[in-house]
Amino acid sequence: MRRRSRKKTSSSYFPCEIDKFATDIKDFFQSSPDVSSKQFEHQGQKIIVIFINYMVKKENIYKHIIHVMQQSDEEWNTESLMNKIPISGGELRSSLKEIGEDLMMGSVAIYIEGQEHCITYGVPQLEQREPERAETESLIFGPQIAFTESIQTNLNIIHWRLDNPSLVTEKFIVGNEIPTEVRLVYLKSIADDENVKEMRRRLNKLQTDDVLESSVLTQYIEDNSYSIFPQLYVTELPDRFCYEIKEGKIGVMVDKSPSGVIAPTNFFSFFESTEDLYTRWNMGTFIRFMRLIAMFLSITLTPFYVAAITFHYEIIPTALLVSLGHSRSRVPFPPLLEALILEFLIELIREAGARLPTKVGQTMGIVGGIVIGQAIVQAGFTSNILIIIVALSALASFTIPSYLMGTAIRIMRFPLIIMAGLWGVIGIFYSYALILIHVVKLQSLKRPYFSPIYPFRYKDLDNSILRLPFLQSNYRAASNMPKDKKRFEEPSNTKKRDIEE
Amino acid sequence: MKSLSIPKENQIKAWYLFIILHTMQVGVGMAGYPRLVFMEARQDSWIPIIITGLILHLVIACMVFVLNSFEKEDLPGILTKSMGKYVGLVVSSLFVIYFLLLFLSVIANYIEFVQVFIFPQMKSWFIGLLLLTLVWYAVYGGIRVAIGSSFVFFLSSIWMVGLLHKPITQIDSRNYFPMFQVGLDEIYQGVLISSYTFLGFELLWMVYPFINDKKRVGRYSQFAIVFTVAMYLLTTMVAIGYFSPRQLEEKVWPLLTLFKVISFPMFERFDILAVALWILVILPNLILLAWMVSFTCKRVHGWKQKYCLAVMIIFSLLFVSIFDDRELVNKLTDFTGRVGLFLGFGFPFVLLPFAIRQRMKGKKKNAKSS
Amino acid sequence: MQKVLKFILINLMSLTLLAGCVEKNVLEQLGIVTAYGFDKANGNDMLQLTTVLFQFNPDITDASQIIYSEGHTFRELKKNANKKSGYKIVSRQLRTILYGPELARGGIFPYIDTLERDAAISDMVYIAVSNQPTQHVLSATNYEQLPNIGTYIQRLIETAIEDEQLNSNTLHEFTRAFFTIGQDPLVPIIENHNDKAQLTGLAIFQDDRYVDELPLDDIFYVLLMTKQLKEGKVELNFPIESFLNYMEGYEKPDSDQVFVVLEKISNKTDVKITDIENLKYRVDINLEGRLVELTERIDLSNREALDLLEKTINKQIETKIEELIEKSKEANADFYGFGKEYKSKKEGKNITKEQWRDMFQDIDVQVNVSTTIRSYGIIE
Repeated sequence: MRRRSRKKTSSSYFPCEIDKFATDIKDFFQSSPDVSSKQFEHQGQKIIVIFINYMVKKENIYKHIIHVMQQSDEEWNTESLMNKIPISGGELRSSLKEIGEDLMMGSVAIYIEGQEHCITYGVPQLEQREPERAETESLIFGPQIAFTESIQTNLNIIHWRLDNPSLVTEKFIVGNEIPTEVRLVYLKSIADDENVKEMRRRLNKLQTDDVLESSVLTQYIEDNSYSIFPQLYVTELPDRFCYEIKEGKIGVMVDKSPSGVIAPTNFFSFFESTEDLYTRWNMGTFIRFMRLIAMFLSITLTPFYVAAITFHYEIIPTALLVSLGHSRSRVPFPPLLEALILEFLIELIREAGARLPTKVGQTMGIVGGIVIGQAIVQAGFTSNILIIIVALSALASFTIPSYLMGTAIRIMRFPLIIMAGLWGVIGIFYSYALILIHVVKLQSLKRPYFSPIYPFRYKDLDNSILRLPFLQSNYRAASNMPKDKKRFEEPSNTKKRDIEE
Repeated sequence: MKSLSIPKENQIKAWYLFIILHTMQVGVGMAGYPRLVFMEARQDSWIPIIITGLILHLVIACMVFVLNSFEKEDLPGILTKSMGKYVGLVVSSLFVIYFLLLFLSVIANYIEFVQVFIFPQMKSWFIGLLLLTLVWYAVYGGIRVAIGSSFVFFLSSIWMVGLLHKPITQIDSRNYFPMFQVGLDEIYQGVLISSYTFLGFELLWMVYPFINDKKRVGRYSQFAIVFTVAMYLLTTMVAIGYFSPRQLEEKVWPLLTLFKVISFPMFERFDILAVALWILVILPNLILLAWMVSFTCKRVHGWKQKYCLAVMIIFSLLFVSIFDDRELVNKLTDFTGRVGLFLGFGFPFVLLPFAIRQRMKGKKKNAKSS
Repeated sequence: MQKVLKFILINLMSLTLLAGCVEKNVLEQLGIVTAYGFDKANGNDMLQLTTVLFQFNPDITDASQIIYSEGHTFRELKKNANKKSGYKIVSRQLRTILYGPELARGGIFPYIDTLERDAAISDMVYIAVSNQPTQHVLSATNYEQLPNIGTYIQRLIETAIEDEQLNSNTLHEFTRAFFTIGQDPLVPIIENHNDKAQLTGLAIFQDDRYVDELPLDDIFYVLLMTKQLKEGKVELNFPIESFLNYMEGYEKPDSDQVFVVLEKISNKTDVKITDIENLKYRVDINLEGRLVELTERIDLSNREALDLLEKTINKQIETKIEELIEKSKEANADFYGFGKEYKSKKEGKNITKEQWRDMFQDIDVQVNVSTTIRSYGIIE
């Protein structure tokens, strides 16, 4: 509320007539039928209580305000009201605009005729859902809870998970038209000051009418908005969020959004999942490698198919040559077009499946995958080997835990396929080089995006590409510049023993 | 000329020198090098390679000595400090031209690879355009991106060395014997040829001020030389063992021919891929050279670096599209090599007396102040 | 950033416009050659080329095609072959090259050079010769389950090489041997019998000329000296006489010859020049193998019997190798590579091919074989 409190009203509206006040408020809200007011007389004083019907907890108003006021026989004034009413957070207001805004946020306004101020109490009733299972980043193993749309609940979860006195949640208001509460969350004892300062600067600098959602906020504050890659991690998992904060990163929570933002993020974090931590280290490492390979395959397979069929038939092994040739000879399109059509089809199925309700979505998958797939090969639209390749690379791209990164990888395939279709392997390697340079160039919160590969940090390979046993990884990643590098002291009994001792 | 002050986020650790000096030295030259040195020194090619390596160690030691005595200076800074403003300007400009020549010869040679192995019909200017857009994009990001992408490209292409194991199994060890048949004259010629190929370490002149821990510069640049020499030694010896002498004399790019025997289950012919992958081997050369040219221009003349870069890239594009016959490329390469022999190998020793004088001055100053 | 975007846009547009500047080889529009067969044509200074290729067609399952063309040079032959096909004939998937008898006897290097020079052609192409016109060999229609005769011959040769029944002779290895002073190539012979191509022998080459022939089984004795075997196999026979004492009592010899088969032979071979001036060589071969077949029941648990058996085997192998050396001297083709050994030891001035040919007749090779039989199956 910083921004609002700074605004000073020029002249006080009060004192005034109760009736005038009531009509003015009605006018302020365009005579909305939802503004209800209750006037009563108590000890000869005219008192009015105003609120918006659905924004407040009415029972609180009746129980703790009206009831209290009517039961007592003392004469009320603003100060005594402030003292006696058992609700916290009372504010003294002296302008109509302020009162209006408070009402909109779920406050109740009480005015006693002749007084200098009007009192508002926040008794908001916010419709919100209970924390539920994570949907977009679903886990098999480990905590299932996900953030909700309410920042109160989310902060509650974060505080509950990060039981540390140095946890800081700085408050910002972003948005000129629709102000939204944004919280900067970090552990003061660990997080790097530079990072915090930079994030604070960006949030303060941000000028926009409205931040719709936290993923929108990231697009406002990220380093390079022209890049295809997401540069800040958006997660709906409190455990992921808190884990990263504990590792020395900083987090941003946005009200009305069911996800948190983590910064700075490097390229490889998008291929991590907290599940890698919950499973044993060997499985975790294997799965991480698998995801990276999947990413590589997903941008490699189709382009290479196109390049091989269009230009470099010599790289096809003899065993494949005949079956490829046969199925290709039925296809009326050039390989480039063939691949683009099929990739486009897969994207269509994915998008249709996502837009439709879950039950229909499943049918969609079956129709798309089996029926169309079968028919398309029989009709000689594409070769059956391409179907395998495209399906495999689509599947591979879905293994990436971050939805944003998965989408980026899938979209990246299209220019790659086109390059392969135009200039064969030269086109492919040109694109790879371009992507690599781009990734090296990118920064996330002014920290290198491609760390720990460049700048190469040997120790950080753990917990980004590898995952070592926990007892071995007692350091926080240096890429986050944590103040306190050590997670815990090394276990003492590390001395190697002989076989029989 | 002002001394450089480098912001902290642009500084690099000394051990990157190990990689980037190595990648600068390895590039297009490598593909044809085994044949060239073999033609001079036959089965004793390892002798000139090792001798060149030793000379290189000396040169690097000298360079590091010079750089250390001037502390935070790069080449143009040292030149103006030691030779005066005008001479320094001329010599630095000479270096710019020399870097540019290196740059052009790398591009021209790679274009030829692609045209011979993959796309005979692809236009030279087009391949040039592809390469130059990458170079432009990388250098535009400054030294951090230039070095970073070189490092990443090194990682993504170094594994190709492992593929040599297939040709190694087909080596005939009798090709290496009898040893020590080579005369002094051939060794000299071999060393000369090798020196052309080993050029690229001049990067150290320019990158020195950017290095974080300057004490380790010497160590890591020497390691880089060891690594490079080992790499050249390996490829040359494999090529000599794998080909019969006459065959080797006839192959223009023995290294790429070595890759012709490699095939994977999903990849029948690796040589096609190798030539395309070679783009990752030469890009560090191009990127760092382009950075050197543009940055030296900026340092010497005070022009804006982005304009220098743009002019250079447009010039190179014109150059490769106009001069694209093989004779000329060879001549260019030879000429660059000869220039490099003096500017690369000889020049550090020219600067040596100036460096000593600088040290003396420093000592005197120290003595006075204390 | 606006500038960057504009630059990228302009670039992208111009690149797309220039898309047509590379030659396309779309798979289904190609006639992909897997084997070439070179023959002398009737006119004798003309060549005939048999091109075995894949042509893909949705309806016909058999993609194999054969085209014959005549001409003077390889390019001309290819051009003429292209006239007879609606598909673009390309040879980057070439697997085998076959040379006809007249051509092979006249020297094949001129026809290899053009392939070697071409970056498009793999170095892993197998070279073979035939005593029949290659046209006849390549038109054999029985090529098992493989897609065509070219891949069939490739498989035929590859399996034999893996089995150590044949020396590898790829394009690279042929040119290497051809160019090496003091070594000559040894090339497989492939013939068509009963409408099926098969390996029938080994052609001894003097430089690039086919001069003599070896039976296929003799390859063991060549490989024994030039390679490190792991899977070698040999069948030997010798008179039973000396073993009569060790026969198990109840047995009577069925014939007067014993056949022995050794398998999984591994060897350690050392070819040394003992006297460089007088061209004296000494070859030490240590070989180890498993005895898998023995036609008579000789009591092998007897140490003496085993020793005798090993000695007999040694003798047999030695004589065989010496015979082969004699044969190579007759043909004046040094497929063992003695010259190479000489060259790697001889310091100073290099010798030429012709000089070595003269010297080769005078070499004196002493062969010592020592065999160890490592096991004799599950019975003794």
